[in-house]
Amino acid sequence: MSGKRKRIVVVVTFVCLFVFLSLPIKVSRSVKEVITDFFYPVFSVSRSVIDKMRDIWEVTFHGDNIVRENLRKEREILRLRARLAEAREKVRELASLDKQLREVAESGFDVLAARVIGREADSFYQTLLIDRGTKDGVKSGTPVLYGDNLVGRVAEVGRRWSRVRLILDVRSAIPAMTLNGNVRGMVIGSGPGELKMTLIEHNAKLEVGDTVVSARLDNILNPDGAPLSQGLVIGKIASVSHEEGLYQSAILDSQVSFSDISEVLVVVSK
Amino acid sequence: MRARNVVAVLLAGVVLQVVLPNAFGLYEALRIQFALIALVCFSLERDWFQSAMVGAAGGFIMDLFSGGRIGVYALSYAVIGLLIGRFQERLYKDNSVAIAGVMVGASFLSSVLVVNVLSLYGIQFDYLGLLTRSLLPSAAGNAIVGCTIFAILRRIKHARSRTWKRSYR
Repeated sequence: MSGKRKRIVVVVTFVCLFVFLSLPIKVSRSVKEVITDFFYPVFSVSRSVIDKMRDIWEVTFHGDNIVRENLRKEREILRLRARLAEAREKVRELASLDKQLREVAESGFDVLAARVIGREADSFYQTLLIDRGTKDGVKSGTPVLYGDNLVGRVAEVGRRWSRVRLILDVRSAIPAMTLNGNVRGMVIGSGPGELKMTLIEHNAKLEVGDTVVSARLDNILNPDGAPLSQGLVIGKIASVSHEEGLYQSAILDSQVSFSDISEVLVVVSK
Repeated sequence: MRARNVVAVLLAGVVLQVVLPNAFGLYEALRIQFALIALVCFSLERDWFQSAMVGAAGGFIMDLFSGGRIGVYALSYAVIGLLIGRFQERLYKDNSVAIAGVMVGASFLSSVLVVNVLSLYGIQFDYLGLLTRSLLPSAAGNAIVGCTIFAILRRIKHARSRTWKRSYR
């Protein structure tokens, strides 16, 4: 291909990319729904394979010396140990889910357990890919919990999967209030590891350690979507900054370690 | 390398990027960008045209699996591919420090481009906060993994060319 042709092709490619960028977000979502539906088995199988590899790794390198020696000598033991690790992992997962379910049952929500099969590929967005979709009754906007803590809301739903936008995501804005209901504001994400509560009235009295929970919000923009339930724990106030102007803001400390989330609970109805 | 193979490598890179951080519970902010590493490794050996095209394809795949708008990564990766492909001949490719520099540069350039494109849609980032919390560790991770992969690929390439020369003689 001649130099001139190459230049034309590159310019046309860039123009096409700009056209893609200017398409409505709905078009982007429908394209991604089709693609993610197609690749869902790949993510699911990859997650299972990596889980097994991790179990074998843990058995091989984090077992005690005697076990390690035995593993080297006898392949059969390795296989059995791997199975044992797998079973232990399952028990741990079940115990974690059981604990979460008990906590949530006390809060009065109907929930659905979901496995996290993927995460956002880059650090600009904070999303999770879970293995529950429209066929399980999940709707756009559905709150997602870890224990009784709100970790995000469903942003995109496929038949067998959903994409959860974490509360850390810069596009996330959750109406919130303190547990006693005296102070209201908006919890916004600021990327990995930081949660901020803004739009708090300037004269509102906030104390470090106050628990912040979600305030009820009907899904006005998407009437078919799920409303946000009230009273889901978001975090505790770590520091308050009294800015100039009408509002003050606070940094929140979440009780959830977002990097460790491997199962979540989806609030299907109240 | 055939286009089909390149797309398969990029796709595998993106799938790894999506699945790995979750499976190993890695530090939340650390994201090894396998697709970007694959693009840089490719661009260091090819001309600007092929690199830009592969960049656009790789970015497009990233867009399909990310939670944002389609075209953001495609645009930024196409620019990165084009730039590396354009200037790769001036680099001494057996120098790991130079390659690490290219990896870090590509990571930062990608982030700057993505942040700027997203700001056109009203999505604002605290860039300084993101830089310290996430972009620096990710760039360092990309440099380490990318340098290792590139060094392995160079060795394979050298070994192949030596074998080819011997058989030719």
